[in-house]
Amino acid sequence: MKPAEQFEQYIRDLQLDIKTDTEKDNKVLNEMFSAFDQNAQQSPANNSAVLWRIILKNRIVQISTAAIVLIAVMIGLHKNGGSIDGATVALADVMTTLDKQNWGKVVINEYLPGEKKASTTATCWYNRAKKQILSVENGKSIESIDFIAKQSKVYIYETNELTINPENNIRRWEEELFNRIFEIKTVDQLSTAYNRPPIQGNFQGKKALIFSQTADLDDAQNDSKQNASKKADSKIVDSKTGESKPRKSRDFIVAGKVVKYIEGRLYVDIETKLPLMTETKFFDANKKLIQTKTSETIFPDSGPADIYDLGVPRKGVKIINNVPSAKALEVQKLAKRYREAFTKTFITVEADSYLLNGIERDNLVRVTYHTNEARRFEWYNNTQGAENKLLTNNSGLKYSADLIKKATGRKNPLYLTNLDLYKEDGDCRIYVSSTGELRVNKSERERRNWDHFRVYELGWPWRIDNTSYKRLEIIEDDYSLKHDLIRLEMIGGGIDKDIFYLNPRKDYLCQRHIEQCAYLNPWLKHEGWVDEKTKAWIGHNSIIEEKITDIEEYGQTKQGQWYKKVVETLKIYTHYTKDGEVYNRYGDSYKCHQRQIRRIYLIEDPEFPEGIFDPASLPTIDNDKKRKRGHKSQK
Amino acid sequence: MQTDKGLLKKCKRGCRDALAEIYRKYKDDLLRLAVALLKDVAAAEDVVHDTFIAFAQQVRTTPVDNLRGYLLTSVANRAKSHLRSNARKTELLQQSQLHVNKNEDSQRWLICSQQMQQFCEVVEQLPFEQREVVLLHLRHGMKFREIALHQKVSQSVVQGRYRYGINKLRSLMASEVTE
Repeated sequence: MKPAEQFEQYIRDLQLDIKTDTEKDNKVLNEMFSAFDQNAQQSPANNSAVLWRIILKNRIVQISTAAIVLIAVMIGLHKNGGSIDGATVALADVMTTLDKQNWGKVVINEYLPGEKKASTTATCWYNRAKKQILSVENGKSIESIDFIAKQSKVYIYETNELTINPENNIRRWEEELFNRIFEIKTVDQLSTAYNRPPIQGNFQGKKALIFSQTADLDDAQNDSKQNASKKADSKIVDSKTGESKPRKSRDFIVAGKVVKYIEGRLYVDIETKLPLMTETKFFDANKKLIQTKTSETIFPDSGPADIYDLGVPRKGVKIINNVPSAKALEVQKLAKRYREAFTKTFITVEADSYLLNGIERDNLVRVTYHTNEARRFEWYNNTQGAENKLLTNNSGLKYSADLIKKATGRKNPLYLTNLDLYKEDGDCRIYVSSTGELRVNKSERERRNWDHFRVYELGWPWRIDNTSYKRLEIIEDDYSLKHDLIRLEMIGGGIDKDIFYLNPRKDYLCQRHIEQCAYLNPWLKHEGWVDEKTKAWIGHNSIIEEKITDIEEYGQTKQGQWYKKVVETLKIYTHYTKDGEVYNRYGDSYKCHQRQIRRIYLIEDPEFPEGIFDPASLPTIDNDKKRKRGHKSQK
Repeated sequence: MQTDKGLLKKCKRGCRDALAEIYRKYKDDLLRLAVALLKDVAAAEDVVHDTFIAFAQQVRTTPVDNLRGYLLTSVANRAKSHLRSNARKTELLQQSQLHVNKNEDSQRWLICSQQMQQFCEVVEQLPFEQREVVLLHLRHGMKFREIALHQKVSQSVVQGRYRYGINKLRSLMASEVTE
């Protein structure tokens, strides 16, 4: 033996005898079992119905035969939880050969029962190395998704428009699915696909292996519902009755009909071991055929380089570039940075005065207790809610009542309507009815990113942080030029449009914020931006809503940070008919103008009253009952 | 005793016994590797613990071809993260003595030969990547190809690390003996 080998052997033979004890083992095993069981509830097998819908509903992700295999895997996993060895070996071969193909071209045809001509035809290419998908839907559109450049492009024949969308428009699940489709390489993952042993047959003169699979969607849906109902969050609580009801499951619709059964077939070339075609048949509850979808696959050596190779004209196309400029992104970041730099420890009293069509309405007050770790919001009004007695009985609420008096100088009584407490270990919400009845909803959960929905708004509206916009750009107008402000226009996912006029001389505070919500607005002409529910509104009972918020007076902290001190908001609601005319059954009064003035009293670096963030010190149902009993006995 | 593939298959179908069997089968092996990499029994125990919890979470969804290799490299990766993230632990590693948690019953943990102690002290002087490859290959019998596959680097890189590591180890141990 050579000295080097002797040395290696010496190292191998060294003894290190370490053992764990039984108690420790049991502890670890218990934790493992708990993690194991938790995972079972979230495993793809149980989410198969959801994934399955996503895949079948989206043409882009159907392009690869592997996607169809994935569907089968999901359904197979769900249905069986086991493997058929005969099918496993053959499918593993298919995946191995498929794995070597960089380019794939899939022609998708949809046939209605009894018709030989396809109702819809689409051709798609995918490139695994470049992570690109390109597709053409005959006569309608050409689309591309580049997962590396994080950009998607859509060309519409009818309008001759090419829209370039930013990164945030590539939905996460699309990318995830693309990755998952090509991660299916192992026999284990395929072992449950196509639960019937393959049979030999012919496909277009070639010898083929035919794999098949059937699925009952009702079974899949029922299991999904059961899993969903285990989670408390998946229930909707009726605010009036307090009863919880399960969410409505969405039916899977093909050609306007509800699908209940699916039959899938995969044809594989015996010689090349590559997929030739998948055929999916959709049936209704009576097992009547609704539609047949076929995906013929070939594996060319090359494919289209870009969207122009697929027929988008290189000249004369109107290009709508929705990718935000560097300047727009920078402004968005600056506003966020200034807000984050603002002091986190404070108490505010925000007092609202409403003027509805010239008549003074409710006076609302919100008290906020704010630290890095916990937030407490209390809402008060002067018309309904818990009796003042509640405020004096609870030390925290009494403190707030005194604070409101001190800040606003108001003498008329206030009633607590809501109280929200957000802490890292959970949250607590109290609703108070007009009769003084308390409803407490406490939940313990992992810390959510509640900055996004309960953030303090001392001048930077939370919506400015939105990352799922469709368009973000700087467009100057007369107002921004006159007041030397930066006008940032943000178009949201559906019907929302935000215009922010930011003041760079005042820590990028939003001097004017315009929120628009309109179903007939021109930016909605691309139907893809509107969900089904919104579409139903378009052209029928459309409502336009506009809210303009202006900072009337600025305040400054001891550290020199600016914040809004007085703001005025004007809300305008108008109802339209389907022709876009003002719906005037109620005359002009239905064009509702609502004006609101908010005054903010900021207490910097306060000493918080004891137990203000402690859920145990909040009013409880028990206390409320005692309070009621007290009332009765007094009577 | 069941094969790894059989155990994995059962695990994927939700069999708790198979999961427990995997734990019993590999816990000591993994602990030895973690101790050799970290020279801190308490930290090694944490790393192994975390590895098994993560494995239990992922076993149904993650494709695993070689169970032993998968677990060993998981431990090595976690040990690496542990060293990077924990400055306090790194300081402890600077000490020449093999660290044993004094609060625990030390007999339960470590029965260690003098040669092994010397080895642990010397191997600690290797860069982590080299230490990892030397231990996985020599002490745990993993092939270079397997290590390369799990570490997502080429086989030649792994062989290079091993060659440098073993040469340095030889010279270090020789100098220890001379001293």
